Amino acid sequence: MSVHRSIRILFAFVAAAFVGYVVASVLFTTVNLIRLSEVGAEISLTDAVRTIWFDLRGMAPSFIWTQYGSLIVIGLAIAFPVAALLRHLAVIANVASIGPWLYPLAGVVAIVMILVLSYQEYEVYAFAGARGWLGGLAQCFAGACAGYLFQVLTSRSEARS
Amino acid sequence: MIPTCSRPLAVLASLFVAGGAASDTSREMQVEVFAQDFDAPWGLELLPDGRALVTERTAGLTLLAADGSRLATIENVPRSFVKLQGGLFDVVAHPQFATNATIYLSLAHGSQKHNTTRVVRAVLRDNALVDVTVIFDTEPKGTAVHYGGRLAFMQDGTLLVTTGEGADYREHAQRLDSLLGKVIRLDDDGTVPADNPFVGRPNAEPAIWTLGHRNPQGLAIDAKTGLVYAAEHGPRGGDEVNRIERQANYGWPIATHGIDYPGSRISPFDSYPGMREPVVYWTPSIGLSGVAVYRGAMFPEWDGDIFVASLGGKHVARVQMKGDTVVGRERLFEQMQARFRQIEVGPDGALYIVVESIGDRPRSGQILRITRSTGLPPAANSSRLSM
Repeated sequence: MSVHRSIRILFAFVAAAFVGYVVASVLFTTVNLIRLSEVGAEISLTDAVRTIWFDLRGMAPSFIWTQYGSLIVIGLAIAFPVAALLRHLAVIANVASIGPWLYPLAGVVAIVMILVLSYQEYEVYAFAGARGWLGGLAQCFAGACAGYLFQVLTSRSEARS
Repeated sequence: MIPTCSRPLAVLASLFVAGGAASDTSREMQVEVFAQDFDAPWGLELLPDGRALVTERTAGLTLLAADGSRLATIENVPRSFVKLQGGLFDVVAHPQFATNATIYLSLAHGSQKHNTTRVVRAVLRDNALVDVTVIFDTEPKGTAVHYGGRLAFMQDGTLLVTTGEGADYREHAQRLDSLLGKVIRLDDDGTVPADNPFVGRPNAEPAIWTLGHRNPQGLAIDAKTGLVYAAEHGPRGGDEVNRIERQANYGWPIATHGIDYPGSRISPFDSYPGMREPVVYWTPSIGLSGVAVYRGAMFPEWDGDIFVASLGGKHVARVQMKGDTVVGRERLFEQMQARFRQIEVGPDGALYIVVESIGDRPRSGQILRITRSTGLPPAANSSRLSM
């Protein structure tokens, strides 16, 4: 693999992880605010934006690996290479048509694994915005977005090379 | 039997000497190990005849003599669900215990997927519980944390019970159709008093006295004023002591001074219209548990002050009060590096402090008795140390 292509894949990963985290964090906050409004809190748009911004900074990836943002980066860093390998095997097995689904699916699986493993560790939802079917689906959607973006960016990279 | 070994004394000897910033009162305090070798003690009830009952979250109920020596392990204690924060919680005696020998226990009951905060009433007879009756259960939840579980009788003879919101069910603290995250008020037989604030309201649990609590593990009645105080274990920041008043909403999770463990906000609001502000709060958290309001002759300079047991913060916090106003704070027993679970004030004004554990040592739970060094003579079979 050329250095040029490696840089492009790295860029694609950083962009996908960034977008995945932003979508996950925004939906995390949104689900929390919906739950609060369901029990009577009146939340203005200003309050919502302020809270979204706080959470984006509060859960951002850092050197603390248990931060939600850090876990998303780690999860995607494991999931995407596995998806790349499966894409390669799919081509060999003559089922290349599943290829476009693999990165989004890998993103979903990464998020699911983060939520399941953290639940097993703490025996409560460590990430409150992922509670319930709405919270869980919202986080999976974020993982899918990250995977889709990674696929788009790396496909362009492949097309150019 | 009580402390004959020198190790607890060595620990205690360093409490205030190393503390440096201790107040004059602290220097006059005499700290004795009243009882020891407990496994996660949780509740302490000083009985009218001088004996005491101690609950251990993982073990059971123990009867102590007036000098702190162990009299008996009480039999026929209801089995509790022991996991994570679950187990046997508090014990409180009926106001007429001297004549009816009735006590109340709170405990976690059920299984991992289906557990409740339960209250039972029983009669203590011949070192065993008889006539054990379940008088209260929350609705089931599927987490083994945030039970609340503290008990106290108000001066009108009704029983208050704190319940936690179960962590994953935090919004239930604001729902009147849920018993999670509440202070509950019951008659001594477990029935709901007719003057409870939500009696007769559609879709509301009539036993609710106040709402909007997270995990209130402390509850105290001011013996002079009858006012009720609850200590509430907050998230990251926002440990609170609240003055509990009929029908009030204490905000959780809509209004909180804390944030969530992952670094996100629990709510946009640290206060909210119609919701009560705490008397005092701690950010960062110190991990509040039991609370007591000091009224006693032994330390008149503490009159009306609030004492709070800190688990994670490993100290006892004294909140100095002037009327309704907080005028200062003091940290006590920091050098002990212990998790403090509960505080009671004895009839003579001595302070009884339940130490859950010291460091990682197994069965290191103790009950400390704090007296003034110029005060009463030593209790039999107990070690004493002037600070």
